[in-house]
Amino acid sequence: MMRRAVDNAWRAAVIALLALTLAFLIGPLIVAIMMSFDARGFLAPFPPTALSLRWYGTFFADKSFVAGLKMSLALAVAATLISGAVGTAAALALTQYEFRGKAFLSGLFLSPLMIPAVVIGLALLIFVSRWGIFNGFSRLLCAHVIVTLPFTIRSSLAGLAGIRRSMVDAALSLGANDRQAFFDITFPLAKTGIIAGCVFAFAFSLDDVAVSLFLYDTNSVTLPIALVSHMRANFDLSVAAAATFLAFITVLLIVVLDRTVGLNRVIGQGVYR
Amino acid sequence: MTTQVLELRNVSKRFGEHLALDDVSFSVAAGGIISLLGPSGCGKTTTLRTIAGFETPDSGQVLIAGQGMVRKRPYERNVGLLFQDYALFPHMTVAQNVAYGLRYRGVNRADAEKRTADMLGLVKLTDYGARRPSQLSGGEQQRVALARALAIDPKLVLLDEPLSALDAKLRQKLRTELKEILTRVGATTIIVTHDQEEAFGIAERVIVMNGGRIVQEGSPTDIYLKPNSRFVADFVGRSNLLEGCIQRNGPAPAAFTVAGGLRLTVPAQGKDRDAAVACIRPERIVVSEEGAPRPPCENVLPGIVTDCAPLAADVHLVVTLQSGQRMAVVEKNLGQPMRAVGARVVLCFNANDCVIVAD
Repeated sequence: MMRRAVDNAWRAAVIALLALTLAFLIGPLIVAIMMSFDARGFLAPFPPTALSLRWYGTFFADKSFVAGLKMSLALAVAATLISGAVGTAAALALTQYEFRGKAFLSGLFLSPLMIPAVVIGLALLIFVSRWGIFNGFSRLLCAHVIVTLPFTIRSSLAGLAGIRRSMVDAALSLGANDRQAFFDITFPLAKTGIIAGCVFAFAFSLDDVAVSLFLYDTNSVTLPIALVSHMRANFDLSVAAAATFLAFITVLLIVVLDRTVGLNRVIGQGVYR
Repeated sequence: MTTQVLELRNVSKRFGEHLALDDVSFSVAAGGIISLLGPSGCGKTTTLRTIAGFETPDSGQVLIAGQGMVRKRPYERNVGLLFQDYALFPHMTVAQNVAYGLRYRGVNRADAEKRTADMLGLVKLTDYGARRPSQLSGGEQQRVALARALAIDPKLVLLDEPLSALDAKLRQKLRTELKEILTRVGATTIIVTHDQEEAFGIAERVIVMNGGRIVQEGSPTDIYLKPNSRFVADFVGRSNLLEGCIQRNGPAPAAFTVAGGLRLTVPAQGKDRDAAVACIRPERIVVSEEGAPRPPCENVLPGIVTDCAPLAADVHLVVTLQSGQRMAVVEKNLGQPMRAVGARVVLCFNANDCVIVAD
């Protein structure tokens, strides 16, 4: 009896903790989304008394926001493409070949996850200045590729892990050359993992502030940086509208992916069985 | 003009310090089914991978239909492979799997479809073309993999432990089927396995490997009845191995003295040997109760039953001899009363039931 009571208490505690975590994750998001539709022209207490799209109007009327949004999207697309390609190649090398320093290299590829963004930003600032890279977009692209690589590599590794060497060998013995075997077998099977990594990379690049703060210039202000400086000057609900819009882009991306390759596979196990 | 489909000449391969293949030579005639049999790590899988083109030998030659293959890539060899895990492509249907090898052979669509249907018919999976491999049972997957390997009309078919992933009942059934299919298409086949049932049940010639070398080559019956070494006698089937020396030789049966004072009459040997092993198969020994009438034979050894296990069709006995050795004996289970542990019995066998191999 005693043991069962302890068990029930334990289960209740776990459920309570889960509920609390969910509340903290989703609660602020709901508040931000609802406030972005507030019809009042000033920062007023929650909940909104009437709904309107006025803050979205303010957001899209602001030239610095629109420029920032364009810059952020361009940067995220470019960074995701490069990071996806490099990450897939790196994951392929790590799974298919045996070489000295393999463990070191795989640790190195994943290290940006563990190093504080501020350190990466500062280090990159010194590095790009030395190398004479003064174009803001190039500097940001460099940084975003580096910080998103762990996502694309890890996810590609997970995608490739489900592919047994014998499947590729089978394709070769049936007459496919290495390139044909890659595009017939390896790539289709690892595709979901690779795409999942790209989604993470895109989302990460889209809302990065810490690293970008060190590297942007006046011609390459990203949306998150524009939002931060706007908030410092005058805090209004156009920031909530911007945040909601960013979340909307991410959700839209996931829905499109769901229609094309299957959400479960991308976000779920990633490994093809 | 050679009729050998496959020929290996003095093939050696080293992985770091480990000599995986040590001067391996053998050949397979057209339509032949041979088996490479040996424990894990004996080099049989390396041999298979070398033939298929996934490993390059350090020295020696691999000839397929008389052509040197050492520098050829796997896709230039026309060798059909059945992998141990079947290696079916999970994102393709059964029909797409079977047709895959035809993609890169310039076969037109109609011919490819016909060939695929023929192959699925051959393995009795005609209606399974639209399914995914994950929807099939292990035995069905194996047959799809076989159909895929045969679809390219390979010069040589390599089977890697084809039945090891299946349960015992199914294994027996599929072994017969596999043999029928291979015989029907007349495929020259090499079966790599550690399981002697798989080797003996399908192959007409068996090559036993150990430590990267070929230790014996012959028909399944020869390998079983005339092992040429202690390793083969021990690895293939069950046997009682008694170490000792040959004391007298000549045309008459020789005397074999086992440590502990036991003397056996064994077949005539060419020369005296200090260290030899007498190998006696458990089913060649006749057991009778002490004092009961027994068949006349050259070796009569009294002992005590220490274990009696009725394993379905056979009864496995362990008899401890007066000289201390433990002998395994197999009797048919014909409904006779089981022998009691502790019962005094006499073991009888003839000189010809013993095989002498070097220690």
